[in-house]
Amino acid sequence: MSGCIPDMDSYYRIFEYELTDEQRRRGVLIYALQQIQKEHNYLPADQLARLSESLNMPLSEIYSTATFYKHFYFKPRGRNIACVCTGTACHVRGAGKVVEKFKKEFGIQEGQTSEDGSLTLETVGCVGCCGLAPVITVNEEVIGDLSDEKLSGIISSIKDNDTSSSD
Amino acid sequence: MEKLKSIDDFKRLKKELSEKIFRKDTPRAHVCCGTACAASGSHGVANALEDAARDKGLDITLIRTGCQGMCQQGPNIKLEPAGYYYQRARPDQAREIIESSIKGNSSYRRGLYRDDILSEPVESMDDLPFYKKQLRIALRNNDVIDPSDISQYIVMGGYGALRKAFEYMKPEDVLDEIDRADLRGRGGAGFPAGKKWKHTRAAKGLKVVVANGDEGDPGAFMDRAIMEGDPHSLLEGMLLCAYAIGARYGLIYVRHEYPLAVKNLKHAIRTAESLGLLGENIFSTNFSFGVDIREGAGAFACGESTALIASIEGERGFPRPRPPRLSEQGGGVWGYATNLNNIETYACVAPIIENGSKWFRSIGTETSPGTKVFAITGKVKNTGLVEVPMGITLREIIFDIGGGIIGDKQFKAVQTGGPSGGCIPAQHLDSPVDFDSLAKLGSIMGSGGMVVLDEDTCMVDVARYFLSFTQSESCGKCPPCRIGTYQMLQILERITSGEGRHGDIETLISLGKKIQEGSLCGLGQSAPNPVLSTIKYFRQEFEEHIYDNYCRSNACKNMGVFAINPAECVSCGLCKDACAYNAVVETRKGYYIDRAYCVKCKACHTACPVGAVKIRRQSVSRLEDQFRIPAEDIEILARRARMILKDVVRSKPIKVVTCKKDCKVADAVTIMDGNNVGSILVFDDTKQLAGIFTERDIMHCFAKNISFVDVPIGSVMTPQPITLDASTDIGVAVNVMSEKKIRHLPVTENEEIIGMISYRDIVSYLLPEVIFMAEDIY
Repeated sequence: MSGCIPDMDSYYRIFEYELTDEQRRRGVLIYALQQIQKEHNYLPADQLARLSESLNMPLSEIYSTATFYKHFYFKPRGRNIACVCTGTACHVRGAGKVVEKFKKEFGIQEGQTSEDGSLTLETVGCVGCCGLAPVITVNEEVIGDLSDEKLSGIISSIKDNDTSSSD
Repeated sequence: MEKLKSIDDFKRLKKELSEKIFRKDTPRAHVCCGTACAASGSHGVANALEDAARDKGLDITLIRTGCQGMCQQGPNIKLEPAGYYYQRARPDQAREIIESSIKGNSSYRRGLYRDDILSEPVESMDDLPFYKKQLRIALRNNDVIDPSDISQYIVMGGYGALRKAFEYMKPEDVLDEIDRADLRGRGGAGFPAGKKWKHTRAAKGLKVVVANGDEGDPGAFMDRAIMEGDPHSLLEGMLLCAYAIGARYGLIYVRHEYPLAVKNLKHAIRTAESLGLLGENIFSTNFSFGVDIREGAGAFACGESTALIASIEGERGFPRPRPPRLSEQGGGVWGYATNLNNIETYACVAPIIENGSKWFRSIGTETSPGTKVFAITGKVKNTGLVEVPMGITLREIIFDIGGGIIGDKQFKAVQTGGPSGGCIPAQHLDSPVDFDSLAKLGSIMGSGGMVVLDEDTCMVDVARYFLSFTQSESCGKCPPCRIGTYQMLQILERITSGEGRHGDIETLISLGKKIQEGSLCGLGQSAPNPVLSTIKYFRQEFEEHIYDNYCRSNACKNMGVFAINPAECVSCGLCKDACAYNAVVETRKGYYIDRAYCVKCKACHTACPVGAVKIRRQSVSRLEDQFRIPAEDIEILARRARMILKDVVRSKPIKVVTCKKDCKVADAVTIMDGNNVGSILVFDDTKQLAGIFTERDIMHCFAKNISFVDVPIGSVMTPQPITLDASTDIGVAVNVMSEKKIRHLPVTENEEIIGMISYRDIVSYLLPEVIFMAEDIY
């Protein structure tokens, strides 16, 4: 059912009767995009076209909303996703060095995916774990209190896991 | 559990639960499973504790709580009823903890908190310096209950305020109580919640309650802690608000980076619904209230209230001009009047209703009652979440609760309010923390992020960091913010990469002011604050970057001149390996840096294990090269040259000679001669400084043939002499004295004269340095 109109009734557990049909269809847009991204890890163009049909909304408007939000991606992402927190606390405790290290190890810039598709490097404003700065999340798992050795360990474990899983 | 049909049902349920939960005879372990502690492995610790207790055949209740606050020392365990509080717990310690504290009667000493190795361990949570000064209202349950268990919340007094409101209070009474308590919005601006509620209540049509959990400020995580650790307190606050203003629906907008918050909130809503605390006809009354969650998708701008509404409606997160305000019909979600508050604000509502507005006003300050949660992070020993009464000083938060700076380095500034706030320097450490005092200092309270910066942090870099954040997060709707922040960022990036230009600071200030005036929403209006406040307090650092090409914190690249100090170098050669440009040259004596090849990339500076690679000012390094004066001496000299008049006054015995206006000239000259001074200060009858009489004036009198014996000094003195404050730079004083052609200068402090300085005093004060340099040069 991917790309089809999401389950409106469960999304509008409240506001059952108060909204017009158009308001309901527009209101569900961000949720629908999140569902597509959950399934595909990014927003494939054909899925968005189908969503536009099922929501009866111009594709341009869907893109207008989707491109505004940082969380939506339009290119396939890597098998692993490393997200470096660059919040204030992490910044003053050396998040820049962490980003540099990832860039060097995988030969990519922020927002890019390594050539073999093993890793996408992202940065985020703040994961709200400032007490353990500097922090990264690897595939949604928060890892804090990074040191040089700890980071090297994480990088090699990403590389190892990736080669073993693709074998 | 069955649906509650009346208030009596609720009371009965609470009584039943109280007999079962948190009983004094069953030991409990409250393991912190907030995001930070979970990242440090607290789930493993909790499992190990459970296993260990089962092995020993002991009956303990294991409670996985939300964030307890002391994130740096996590995972944390609180053992009740004994009250022992353990830090940095590891799974392999579980057995010993159970053995000593549950089976036995003593604490497990190795897990307790100590200030340092030599000091006595602290057993209970309340005695810890970190918790001692805290007062927890919004975080009242965070260290106690399991967020997924509504019964524990009820036993801790949860939904008691709702019961009280339903039993004894009309909606107007609830509203008045909040208004009287003067609860100010915890999201940043500090707008009184009571006023907002009243306004929404007065609006026509359907009403909606929205909780703003889009905590986008980097360095803030108090809303996260509440949503994850005590979701029912948020729901209860929203319920009370809905009851007071007559709202039918509620929405909680959570940012997508907080998946655990979404999970816990969803569970909380479901359980509250199954108990009948949410939904249709609560406690069989006419009051119905339904709550749902809306997830954000990663946009800082959506923390702004109108942008948040747009995001809920499925649009781009653009703010829009007001009016109509959210609280008016046509302004809120889908046009319905909406009351929007921060998560923490809602969490404060239930205790106010429960204990009354008088109680709430007795905490904190006159204009900012209550407590505030701060996320204290950065270069401070104990990072974490603290809740303190308003009016506490910054020093207490940073040094008493936070334990001071890591490595006992010098405190430089504290950044409050995130990207909308500013930096507060050391001289204001003793100012109280409340909405108004922080605004006076050029910062804001904001949502409560507090990032501590030490001497190794470059303030220009901090300003650049915040601007790069606001620039990339600017929604792009209005040009002052979109283009203005971009231009400011360009300038700041130039400055931090060593290409600052004359006039950059002035341009930054004027751009900043225009952005403040011209932007549409609060985020744009406050975007230049971090830059403007750092310029205000740390202008010298900006000037150093631009004019001296030097960063005193060694944080910026492409700055200063690199040199290896042979006295500290251990000849390990790491710097040579690190240099990609072969600028580090090895000789028989050791290493040196060839400046013709150096690109100032700082690779050698980072690589050096002993800190022998020095980054110096161009001027200092030139003197060092040519005259072999040690760099440290030059720094001292430069510091002395920066000295202020107070130093000069202090360098000699204080001698201020005075006389009255009607004193005869001859007497005045005698006094001057007797005291061996070149000037005398003349005071009038009201003891105000009226003028000065100097050697020069004696000459004038003599030339004009004025009778020394008959004429009073008041008619020949120089009236209204120039005085300078003791904090004035010596350089400024020299300038003023040559410009105005004066040789004697009264120095004041707090408008009182503390000494006299002559031109010669300044020269003699600087003489040692002058001689020192001359000797070395010739």
